[in-house]
Amino acid sequence: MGGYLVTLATLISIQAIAACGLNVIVGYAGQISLGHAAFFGIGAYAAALLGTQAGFSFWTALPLAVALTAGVGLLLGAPSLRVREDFLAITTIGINFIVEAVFNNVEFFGGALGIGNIPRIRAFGGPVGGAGMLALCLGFLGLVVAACAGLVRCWAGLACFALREEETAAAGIGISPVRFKLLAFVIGSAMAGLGGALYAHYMRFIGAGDFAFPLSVSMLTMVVVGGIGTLWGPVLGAALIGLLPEVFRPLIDYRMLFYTTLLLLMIRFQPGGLLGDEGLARRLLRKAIPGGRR
Amino acid sequence: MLLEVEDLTVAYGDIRALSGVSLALAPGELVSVLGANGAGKTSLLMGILGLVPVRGGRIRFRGADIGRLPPWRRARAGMRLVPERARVFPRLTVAENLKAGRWGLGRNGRAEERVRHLLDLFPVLRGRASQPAATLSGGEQQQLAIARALVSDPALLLVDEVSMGLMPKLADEVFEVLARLNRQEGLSILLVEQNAAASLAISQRAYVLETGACVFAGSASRLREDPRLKAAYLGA
Repeated sequence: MGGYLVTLATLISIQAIAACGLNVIVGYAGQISLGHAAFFGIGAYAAALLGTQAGFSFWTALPLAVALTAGVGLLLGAPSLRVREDFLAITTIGINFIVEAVFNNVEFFGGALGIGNIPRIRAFGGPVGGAGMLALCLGFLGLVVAACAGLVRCWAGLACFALREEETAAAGIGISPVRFKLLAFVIGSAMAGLGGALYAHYMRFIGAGDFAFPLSVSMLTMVVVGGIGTLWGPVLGAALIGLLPEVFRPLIDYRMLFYTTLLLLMIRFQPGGLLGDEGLARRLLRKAIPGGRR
Repeated sequence: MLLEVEDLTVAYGDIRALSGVSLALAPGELVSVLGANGAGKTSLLMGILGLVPVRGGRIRFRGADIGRLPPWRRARAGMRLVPERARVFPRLTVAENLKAGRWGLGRNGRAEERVRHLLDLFPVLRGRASQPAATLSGGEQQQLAIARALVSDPALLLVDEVSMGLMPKLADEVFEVLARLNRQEGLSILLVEQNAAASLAISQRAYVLETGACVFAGSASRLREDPRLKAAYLGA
């Protein structure tokens, strides 16, 4: 694989990690979020600051960055999840703008200059290079998908699904809506934080603009296109959304228009996403593997 | 008393849906709450569970004051809701709906046994375990909602407008199941209904609500025979 493809695949797997986190919030627990990039950014800034200011290695900084992002998710989620649907969407957009503004304006976070010279990840006594970094990101993506698969099978996952489907009925059978919405929010934020930490160490330079609202929109597009609430949907979505702008390079200036159109088309024609129950990819899979998964 | 409601007042903003309603239910009783649309029946039921804004009054369940607990904790205390229009989890399978009903019981062998017993009670759910609940008919969804509420073996079943949207024959079947659960298993049931005749037929006592206040409380047989009430509420 050429260097360009490795770079592309690495960025896609990093975004897929964050998109899986968003899927836990939006797809599993049914809570809309249009501010996921904020948590991706918090993970990135935490890892960057720990790597540059505190001199921590990636491996020490990573759990701290993930825990910090999850903590901020808990802190911001508690008041946000009191509102529902469109109000929640607006609240999460607000979170995104505030977090971006803080990164952009507070000296501690590097201000408009961002943070540079973030050290490379080191493993086995040397810096991790292109292919190694891709393997590392894919490994983490595998862990995240496995965690999602585990969540779907456990009681907490069932509680999240029940909330997504019928909140009143769920409360009426003893499921705490607040607790499990928060749980989904914290897990989703933690995954965003993991993706962000990898992003910071991969790019080695980050600025507030990297985590602006458009990234939240494109992450939501990944989840919706791939298949909201499915296991592999966000990964497929991240791959498609990551690849398409490369294929249509000349149209790069119109990519927000493209995402929005794609989102609307998906909602109109494939509301469950490509891997959803009636999705295109799911139908093709069914044809390819007769008698396979439903 | 299993459930004692005193002076319950429910208001949505400035609109008062229920003003000072009291109600009691003894263990093993099946009690109906009747009234026209907008009389406050559902507000009473949802108020007991804390799912609507309660502005005053006291709720005691199994001797404990539950008026300040969040809805899910009230449910955990041993009451389960069968919501209006069933509200099954549509994209979850029948088995997952029933599993969700076991919430809080953990890996309890008795729960498995209970599910088997419920499948005997609701044979239409048999063999449909892996089917999404949305693919069931209205009547089947209503039965699934009752089964989901019963998996945890609750002390009190709160049933909201179970006959709504069901054709009469199916509604009769559902009432029959509720009557049987009450008679044979001693399940306590608070039944909120518009179909007064059918619910009185299986109830021991009844309350009648009118514009948020209680206008009758007494035995079901007395209500069935009172000509004035009959004219007003039973449409006879």
